[in-house]
Amino acid sequence: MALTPILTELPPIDPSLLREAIRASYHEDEDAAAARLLSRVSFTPERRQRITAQARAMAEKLRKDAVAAGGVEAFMHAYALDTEEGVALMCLAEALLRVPDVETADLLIRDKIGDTDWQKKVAASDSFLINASTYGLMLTGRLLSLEDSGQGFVHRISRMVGRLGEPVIREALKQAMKVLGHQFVLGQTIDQAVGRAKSAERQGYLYSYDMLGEAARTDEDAQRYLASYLHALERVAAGAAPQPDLFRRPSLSIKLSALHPRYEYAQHGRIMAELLPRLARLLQRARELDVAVTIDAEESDRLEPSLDLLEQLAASEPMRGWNGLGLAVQAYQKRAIHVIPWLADLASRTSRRIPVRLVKGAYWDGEVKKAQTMGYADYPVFTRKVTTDVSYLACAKELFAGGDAFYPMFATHNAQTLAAILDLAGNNRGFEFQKLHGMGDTLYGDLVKAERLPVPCRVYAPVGSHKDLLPYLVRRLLENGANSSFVHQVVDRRASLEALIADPVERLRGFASKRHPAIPRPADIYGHERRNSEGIDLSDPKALAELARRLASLPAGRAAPGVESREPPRPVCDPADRRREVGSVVFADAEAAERAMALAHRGQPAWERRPVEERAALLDRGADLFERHLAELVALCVREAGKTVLDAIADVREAVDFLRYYAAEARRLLGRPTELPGPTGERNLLSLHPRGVFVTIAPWNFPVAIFVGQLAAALAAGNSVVAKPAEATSLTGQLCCDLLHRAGIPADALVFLPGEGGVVGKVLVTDPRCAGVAFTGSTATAFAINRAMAATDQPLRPLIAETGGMNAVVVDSSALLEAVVQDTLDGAFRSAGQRCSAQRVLFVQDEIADRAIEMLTGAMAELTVGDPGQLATDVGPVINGKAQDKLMTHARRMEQEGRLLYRARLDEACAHGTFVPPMAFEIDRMSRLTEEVFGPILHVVRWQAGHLDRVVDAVAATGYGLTFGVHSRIDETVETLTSRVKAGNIYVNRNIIGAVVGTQPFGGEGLSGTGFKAGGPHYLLRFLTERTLTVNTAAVGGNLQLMGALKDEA
Amino acid sequence: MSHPTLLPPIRMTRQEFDAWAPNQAIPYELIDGRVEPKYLSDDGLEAMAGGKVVHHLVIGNVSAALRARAPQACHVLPDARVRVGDSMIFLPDVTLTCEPIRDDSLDLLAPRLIVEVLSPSTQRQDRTAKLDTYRLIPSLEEIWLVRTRPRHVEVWQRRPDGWHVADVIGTGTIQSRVLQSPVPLDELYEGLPA
Repeated sequence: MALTPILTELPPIDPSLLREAIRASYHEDEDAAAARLLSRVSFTPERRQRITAQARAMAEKLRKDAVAAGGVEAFMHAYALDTEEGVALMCLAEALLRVPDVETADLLIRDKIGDTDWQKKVAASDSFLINASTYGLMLTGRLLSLEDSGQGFVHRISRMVGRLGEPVIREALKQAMKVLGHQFVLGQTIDQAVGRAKSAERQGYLYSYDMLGEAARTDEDAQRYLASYLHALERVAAGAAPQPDLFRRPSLSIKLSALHPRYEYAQHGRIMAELLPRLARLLQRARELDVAVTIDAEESDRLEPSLDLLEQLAASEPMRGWNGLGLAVQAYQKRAIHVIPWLADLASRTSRRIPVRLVKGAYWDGEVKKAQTMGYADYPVFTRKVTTDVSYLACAKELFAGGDAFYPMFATHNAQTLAAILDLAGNNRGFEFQKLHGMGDTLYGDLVKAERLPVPCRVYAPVGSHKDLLPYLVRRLLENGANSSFVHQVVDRRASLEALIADPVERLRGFASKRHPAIPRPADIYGHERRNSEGIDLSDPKALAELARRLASLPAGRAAPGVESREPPRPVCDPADRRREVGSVVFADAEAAERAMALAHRGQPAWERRPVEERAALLDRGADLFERHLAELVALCVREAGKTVLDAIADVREAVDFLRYYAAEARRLLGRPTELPGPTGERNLLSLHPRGVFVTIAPWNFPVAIFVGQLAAALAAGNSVVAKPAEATSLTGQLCCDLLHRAGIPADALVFLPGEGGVVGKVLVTDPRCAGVAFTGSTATAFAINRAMAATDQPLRPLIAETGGMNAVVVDSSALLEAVVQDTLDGAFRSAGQRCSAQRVLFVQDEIADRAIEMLTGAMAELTVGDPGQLATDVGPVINGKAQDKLMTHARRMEQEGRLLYRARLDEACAHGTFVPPMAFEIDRMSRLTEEVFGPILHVVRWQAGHLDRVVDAVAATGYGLTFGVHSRIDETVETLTSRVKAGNIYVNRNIIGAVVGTQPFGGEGLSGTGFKAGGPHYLLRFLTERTLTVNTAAVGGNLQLMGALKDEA
Repeated sequence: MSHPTLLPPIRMTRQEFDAWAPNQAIPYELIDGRVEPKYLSDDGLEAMAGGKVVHHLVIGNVSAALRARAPQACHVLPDARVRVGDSMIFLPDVTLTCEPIRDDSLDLLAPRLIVEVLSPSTQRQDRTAKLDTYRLIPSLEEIWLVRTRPRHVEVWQRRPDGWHVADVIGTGTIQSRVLQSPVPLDELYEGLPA
């Protein structure tokens, strides 16, 4: 018998060698990738000198003029990184314009203006990314106080608040934010923008219009963005001066994430079926109007689908021979250098010229964070800025080498890059430069005016309402405000001009390690203590194909207790389709439970005697084996527990982290006894010791992570373990134990005992040999265990219980709704809501509730519910029929007591599984919920501004305290909520699931559990007992130490 | 040389194992119903077709020493299958048995002496875990656990009052209760690099 194969429906892979080269370098080792670049581009000493001389001339002029000219560069010059104005204004600029209600707007203003502690906040974060964004908004502060530059903006405003009162200030600030918007946005409407472009066009600039807005969450949003693109095409065409050359006319830039709510690799089928036609329609109109369109580059996991789309479009009949279809390429990606030959081939195959905008890339911080979080083999981007600069030049060289295949568009504000490109171009005139609206005016201004540039410069100009400005603005400022950026350094007189214009090729060559020393490989972010668990990037076609290959033919699972049991084997069914068998399990009978305790009891002394280093090494080896067998573990998680592949990988990774973390903790805590201070003449030692046999009882919702986490902690401490998995996930539990046994953990130190709680539970926890119980599951079961343990007259033993939660997230009107919606989808519906940490309630401020509900339900409509073994699936089944019934009963009650906002449709494929459609209800108060609702059902409650206390009280009234979240830009609100709500894990401005071992130790309080937190520095202590040893060193005739001291004195 | 990938611990019945194992390129054992490769790389992460050369050198020495001293009508077999109950099939490095050998015998059922040669790294502690299982074999009288380095043999012997263990080290001699004469360690470690 075999498992039903997993990941059978994967995006098609273009087998051409050129595409293969792109795939192969996705997460390539940085040294190897950098070495390839260095082999592709270098300059002779004469050329280098020529380039440097030209770059120096430009940079010197920049340094002199930019400050005097009072442009954006001047503000950068004027501001240091740590002014409170910048930070305050960044927050204001980001949020103020979208806040609809006066009360919250005033709170926000008071919050940002009244607080004088900014210095500390900036200093507290040594992340250069945070400081970079801080820096970015600083320039806004300068902008606003330009007319009155003697004083700090914040102080000025603070005084004004007192003098003029809040309404005036509120309006003034809103105006100020609009001034800021004006600096970076060409116009609020396309007509305004086209009009405003005229004067610069007369000076010789060209324009490419970018309609602000990206990452549509709902189909409605996507349709709206499409309409705005189509409208923009008409207006741009109408406003353009007569000009026969396509590349001398204005163009449009588009973001594919704006045109489809699920523009993700995992949704490849939908992208091709839904986004492609939409895009084709847009481009067809563009061709009719002959307005060139460039597809912008976004996150690195969207590169593959963008190439697939481009391939289809380029080959389509309506696009045949048109030179207006362009693509942006990000030089910071390791794949960039491989994308260009593929584009050249595409151009030649489809007989066209492809405009390619070469950029450096604007999502760098996000890419680095994601790769670390997900444990990828390496980053998709370069960690050194200089490598990106080299990549840029190498790509430029390839573009020029492509001849008529390309119309290169070099987007840069860097004088060195500009000079090098001009050198690489030689006599080539078939290209252009690009700059951002509101930036680079000094660099290009003179060149364009004096016609010293042999080719045109085009302005990339955002168009849209100022409140949509934020995501764009933050990215721009991050990109250009960063310490490492040319724009920043050129005006900073402390920065060496020579270093700034130095040849990046030579600089990169000079680094022994091409990796940035402060940005270790994702595996190494925890330093020497332990390795980060390996993950698989599901947007990486090669990794995915390899995983699918390993998942293609796996045997059914089998499980049986590690001791004899007389129970017959019984079949285990797939929750996604109850007709499918996943394997069979022999449960333990009561005698088997008894035997298991005896075996573990016998094995414990030998296990305890092993040196702690040896025990830790075995757990580490177990972690390595789990990584090696990730595919097999994933397969059982998917088929036995109904987890999606993404969730199953996360489950295995968490187990790996637990194994390594508790091994490290054991080394830290159990190395040697602690010497305690006391009176002279005696020696006092405190040491930690294992307790004996631990019984661990695990839940089914994390069949790998929680099952392994509990037993790993017990084993690391030196206890032996009888490990009972959840009845529903015995097969997965068996594989975990088998791997640990293979790693070398003795069969009598770890005894696997699948069984029904009702049959074996009581036997285990009341056995006199049981020295402690670690339990994760429902609150009701925890109570039952506690009672059973209390009913014996045996020594009192610890019960570590992790139980349920009724978790809420509070959102005020300063929050970014797009983020709220995405985080709520993740929190409420990932793993079909079957996480203890899952979000059950969304408290949303009344003023934005309607819009929030609209966006949330629209986004829910885009979720894919179905076979968890397929890549496209977002939500799988719930664990079994009993859970399904309970959830549907609850849903019926909610329909009576509240209002159904949305219920996802289940298609026929779900008919044989225990599926519950994702649902959202609006209810009037949280107290409608009387117990944990463990599934994909979200409850929305409105709250009125000014009544945060009522929200806090409602959450407290549940008695639970597991996870809690806040979405707000107002520190005071965040502070009020996080200080008053009693919850174990609190998250601000993010989702509330996915706690990471050692980073967010997990566990609640009140009805949610006993603590200590799993994956935290105190957890292991619960598995240990303390002993002191006092030796009277004076007993044998005299206190030598004391007498020795007397002698010293003499 | 590339190593065969380590299989996940597949669970099999004896019948399934009997049908499967003979077709594999690398030797496997069945431990508690779990299929395990006999040889693992030092890091425990790869299955191997065989052990290191010194490992096989010691096995050869042990076989010769046993053969020279075996009782009448007994056999010394390297890498033969030994079955314990229905969920255990082992491939001890050397087995001495006095049971009759038939042409179609697949498993030894009544070993008297079993020798396991342990690899020098501490990675193979799992081999010692087999000791518990071996001791359940009623016919078994003696178990030797031979380390390749340092010279150290753990000798387990069944006595009427239970199992006794003795450590033989350096230039010592093993006083076997199965063999007809004592075995000096020099003989087992002959040819090993100093």
